[in-house]
Amino acid sequence: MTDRSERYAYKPFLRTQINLLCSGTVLLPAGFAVWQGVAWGWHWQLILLPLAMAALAGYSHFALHRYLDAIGRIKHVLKKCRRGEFHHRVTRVHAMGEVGQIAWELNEFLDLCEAYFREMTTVFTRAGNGEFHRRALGHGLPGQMRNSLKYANLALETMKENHEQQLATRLSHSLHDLNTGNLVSNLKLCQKDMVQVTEILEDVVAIADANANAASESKAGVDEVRRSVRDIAAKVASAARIIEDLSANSQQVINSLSIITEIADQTSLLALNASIEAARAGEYGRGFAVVADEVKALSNRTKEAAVEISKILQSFGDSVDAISKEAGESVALAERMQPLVETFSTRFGEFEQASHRTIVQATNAQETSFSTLVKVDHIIYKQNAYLAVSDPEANVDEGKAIAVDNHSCRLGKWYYEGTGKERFSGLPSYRKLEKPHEGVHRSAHRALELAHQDWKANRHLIDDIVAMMEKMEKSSLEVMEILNQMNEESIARRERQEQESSQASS
Amino acid sequence: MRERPVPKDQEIKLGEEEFIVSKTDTTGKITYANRVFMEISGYGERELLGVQHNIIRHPDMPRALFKLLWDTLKEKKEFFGFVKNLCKDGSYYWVFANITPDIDNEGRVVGYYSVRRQAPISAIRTVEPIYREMVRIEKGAGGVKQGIAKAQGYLQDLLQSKRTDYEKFALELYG
Repeated sequence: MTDRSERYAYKPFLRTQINLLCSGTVLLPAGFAVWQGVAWGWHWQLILLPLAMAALAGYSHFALHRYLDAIGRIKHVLKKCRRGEFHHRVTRVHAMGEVGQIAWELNEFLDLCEAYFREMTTVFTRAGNGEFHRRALGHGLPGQMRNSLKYANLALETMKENHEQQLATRLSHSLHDLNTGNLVSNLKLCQKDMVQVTEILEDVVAIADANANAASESKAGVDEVRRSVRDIAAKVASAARIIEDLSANSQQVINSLSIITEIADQTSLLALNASIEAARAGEYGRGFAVVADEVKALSNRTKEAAVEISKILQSFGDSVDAISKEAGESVALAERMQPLVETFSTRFGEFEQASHRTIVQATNAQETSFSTLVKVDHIIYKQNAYLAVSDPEANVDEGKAIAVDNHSCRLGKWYYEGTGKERFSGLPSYRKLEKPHEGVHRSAHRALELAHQDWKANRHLIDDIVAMMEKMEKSSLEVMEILNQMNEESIARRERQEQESSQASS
Repeated sequence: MRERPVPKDQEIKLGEEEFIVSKTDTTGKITYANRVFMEISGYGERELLGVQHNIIRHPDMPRALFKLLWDTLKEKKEFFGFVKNLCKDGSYYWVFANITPDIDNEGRVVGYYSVRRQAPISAIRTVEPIYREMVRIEKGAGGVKQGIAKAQGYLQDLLQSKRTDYEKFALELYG
């Protein structure tokens, strides 16, 4: 397709005219000189005027063509302008008077146009990339151009507000989604823990109930034993009194026996006397009557003594009966106590076992509570991170709260120096916690750092922030899982130890 | 080597509605300078065309800043900055410069276009001590390269402490 301007192009009239004029200026004086020479004869002076005119024509041709050339370049630049190329200029128009002025006016007009278009292009290109701080600079531009840039800046301000609002919405949405999703699962973990703690505590309560029942039953048993023991004491006291009586009776028996001994002695002496008298008298048996009287009296006393002994023995027998009866009662009491004591022993064994179970379960519950507590602390840490990252200026306190490292947060203290270390450091999963926990802190710190930057001017920052928070959540999930593992391992270990010790004792 | 003008303590200011426009090719040689440029710098067109743009570089300017300028342009980004320039007679003028690469349809850089406006006095007061310190650092370092690197580090730290970059810093100062 041909250019319309080419089709209707003006002929290079000026150039032709100049060429004609210059040719005329050379040819006319030369022709006139030739005619004069032919008519009036040759003279050297005749060539002076043609020469001068030729020189003048030559200079004019050169000078005018320089102007024409400049005009040609101006035309070229204007043509380019019409095609939207404003970066061409007309240079080297030194000392060209009006033409030079036109060239410079054109140049400076183009400077303005180029400055204007560049400003427009640049600010909107950069705004498209989210860089709204670059405003159009209208300084030095005239009238409409400057106004136009002013409106462009107003438009940019509105664009920026929209953009920032969009970004803010996007950030808060992303963070909110991320947080809600994870918060629910985190809370579910805590809920699971609490359910476990509740179940364990139910066991503990049941054990404690059983203990209380057993204890009250045992108390009734103990009362009975106490009563029996009191009876036994009374019986034993009465037995002692009986034995005392017995002892007194024995004394009497001994006394009585000494009388009998005395009688026996005297009887034997009398018998001896009688035998001596009998031997000496022989035929005089009169003396026997006296001896026989004495022996008779002795036998009477012996009889009395025997009666007395028999009486004493009778009473002795009664005492022995009484003792044996008492003893029988004591034995019965002891027999009655035997099963009671056995029950006691069993009960106390049960008590002991129940107490162990209670301790184990209570410790499990305590550990699970500890674990829940650090989980909640950890969740709070993350919530603070969300608040701080979503608006660092408004949430300075939360920012400070999450600035701590993984040794100084509550979980860290629990893990490195507190109950966590004390209770769990021997477990296989204990070591696994450190790395993800450190990761949570590192990601949160990095996200906050990014949030401090001007994310409103850089949409990639938002993606980076959200990515960093996702990383934090990933590490956090690991932390939660490892805390669970630690708890489970610890409970399993305690059950195992409990079993081993009960096997050893049985 | 062209003889450098001796700097003197005399400031020339651009008019309210004036700006300097210049164009260079990719090597930094001037291909166009507007009349304001010629009037302020004191050079004629014939002295400027085809000459390196650093003909107006003032010795008070840190090299590190020009390094930053070229690094920015090489990334096909526009550059903003406060620059102290040297006139032919040794006097100086402060400008707020905006330089953009000329990119053709194939995406190639074919030259650079620069618009320079009068720098506000408050901005000059802010950047002058920074530049002075950078020049001091450059001179104190062992070599040119180390000097530029050190001065750049200094500027970087300074801007980082203000949580900004040079462009934002410059645009904010210009107001």
